[in-house]
Amino acid sequence: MDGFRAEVNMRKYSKGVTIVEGIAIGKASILFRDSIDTKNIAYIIGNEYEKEIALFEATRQTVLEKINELQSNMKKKNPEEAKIFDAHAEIVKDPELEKKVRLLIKQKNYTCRSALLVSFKEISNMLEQIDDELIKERAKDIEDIGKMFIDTIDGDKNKNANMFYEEGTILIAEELFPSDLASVSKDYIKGIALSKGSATSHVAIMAKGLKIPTVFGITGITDMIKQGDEIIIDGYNGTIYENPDSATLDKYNDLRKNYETKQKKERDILKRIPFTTDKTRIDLAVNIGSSNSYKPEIAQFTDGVGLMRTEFLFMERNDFPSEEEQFDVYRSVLQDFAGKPVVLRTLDIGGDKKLNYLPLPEEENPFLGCRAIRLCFENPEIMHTQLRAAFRASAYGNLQIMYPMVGSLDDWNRIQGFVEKVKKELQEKNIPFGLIKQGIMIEIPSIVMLAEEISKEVDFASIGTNDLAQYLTATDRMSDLVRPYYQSFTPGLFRFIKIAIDAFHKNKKPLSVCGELGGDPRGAAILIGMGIRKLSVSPSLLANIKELVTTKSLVELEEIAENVLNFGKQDEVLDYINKKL
Amino acid sequence: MVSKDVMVECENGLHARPAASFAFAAAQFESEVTIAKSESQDLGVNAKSVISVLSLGVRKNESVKLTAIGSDEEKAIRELTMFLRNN
Repeated sequence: MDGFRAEVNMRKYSKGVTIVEGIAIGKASILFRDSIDTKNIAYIIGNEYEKEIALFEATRQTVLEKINELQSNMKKKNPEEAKIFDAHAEIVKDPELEKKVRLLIKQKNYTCRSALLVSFKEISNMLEQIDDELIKERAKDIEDIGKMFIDTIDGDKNKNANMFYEEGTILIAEELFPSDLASVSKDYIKGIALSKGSATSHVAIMAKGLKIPTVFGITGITDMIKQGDEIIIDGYNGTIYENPDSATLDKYNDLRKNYETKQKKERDILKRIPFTTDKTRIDLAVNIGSSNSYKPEIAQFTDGVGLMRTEFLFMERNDFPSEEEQFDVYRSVLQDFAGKPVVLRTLDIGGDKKLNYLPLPEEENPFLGCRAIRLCFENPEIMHTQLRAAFRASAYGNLQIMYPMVGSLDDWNRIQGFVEKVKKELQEKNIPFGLIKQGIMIEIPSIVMLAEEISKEVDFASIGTNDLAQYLTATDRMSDLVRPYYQSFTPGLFRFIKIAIDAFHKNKKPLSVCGELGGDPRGAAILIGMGIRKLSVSPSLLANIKELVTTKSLVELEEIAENVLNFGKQDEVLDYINKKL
Repeated sequence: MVSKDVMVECENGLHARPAASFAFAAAQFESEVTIAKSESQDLGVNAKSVISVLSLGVRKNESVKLTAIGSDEEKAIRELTMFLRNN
């Protein structure tokens, strides 16, 4: 066997675009499709118009029935994606299509088949020329339907795609149509590799729904790969291997197994409700960017969003997002998290994050300069628009608003001025908004020393440990030169945080942690032991932290925290915590 | 004949699914209905044809001119206007 393997050359195709992550190993099945050929027109001999038109009508009826069948099969598994075929049915019934086909048959003597080929080609060419990506994509749907018509006339071979594929097939093609994937099952098709295709196509959406590892954009793949070749799809790196050697195959088999085991374990952990072993409930929320930065299913495993960064809405564009745009994004996040709290942090620009359409003055120390809430005070319109969008969205869920870089009670009062104005405007116009809790980020040392006063004013607060550590240790996070001075496990930081925890406990206001320290199981253990009851972490770290919470007792964590607070050096903290976890 | 300019408020303009539902809605009327971009001088295309509607490439916040001729022309314009505003 090994000797045989050595004779085949492994080929690697990289630089593909990952559509669905994962690893798939199987045998290549290449789907060749004749592109719509309009060169060889067949003409009607004699006077058989009526027959050709009757054929068109019968074919149309059959195609409609096929689409209905595909759609009802899909509805059982993926109701959302089945809607893709709504437009298919309308196109089949289209009066302009019918007019075109009839005209070609009657006036140009085309056969029904040729009339269909030409009509569909013209329509798809026309749509491809429109300057709108979404509509361009629909040209593919038109071709898909054209193919269904022709297949029906030719007597189809294509009843159920699964019949053609053996178990463990890797589907290779130039491109695919929605109907190609509508009837396939994950048991048969393990992976998909296409030379074309776009991330916004219906096929991409369907592949995601089926969770089949998929890579697009491997040019020339159908010419290179042979039917039946062994294929590995590395959906993490957008890479395809053809006839892998045994070392590569072993590596990917292991990777796939590890990945599957890890995924299953993670999934099991995610399902747990975060109680410590001695039954203290710890709220575990997630930090997100915009609405596309997370998979909506994460919502069911969390206690909401503890930090929604809104900077991303403002970046990678050429002007400010409108109130409507912001409202749409905020509302969609609130709807994804259906009633769970979503903490929106107002714009935190400046420091290391810049906007190319908002020129900022050059400052010697931008991290100590006009950033976050200070920048919003300088540009009141930004703050006003964002608050309006947020307040309006609050009618759709449990929205809370958090302000970054609050350093004093003056800052807080100034913010409340904005809030009152927005509330009044909305009330005057009878625009609904929810009861919004408002809080602050704790990241400036001065506000920690005012925790007693500020905790009486705010509804909640969340500690941004990255900035707090930066300001407390007077170390620029961006500078490599001073990296060793940036100590996020220094007992000094924990003692400092303790001041805030005590004040917030005393005044019975919730205090959470949304910085990196809480996403590190070592930091999380200490913080919970110190009295923190809510952590917000990146979705990819949630399982890790949930595992910590559900396998430790509060008594253990409190003992850990007590010891950590008594150390004098970061190394002592790290040595100790590494041993304990 | 009834004509009206309407601002399209459908989320992504009139692309696949909205265009299909719009054509379906238009097909419910006896009147002939056409749709054109307000800014263009074109005569307009068959609003009952999803392909024709798609071919216009109408985006959100673009204005279109709806025209209907037939027994239920007023109802057609009224209901299709609502469609473009609310969907």
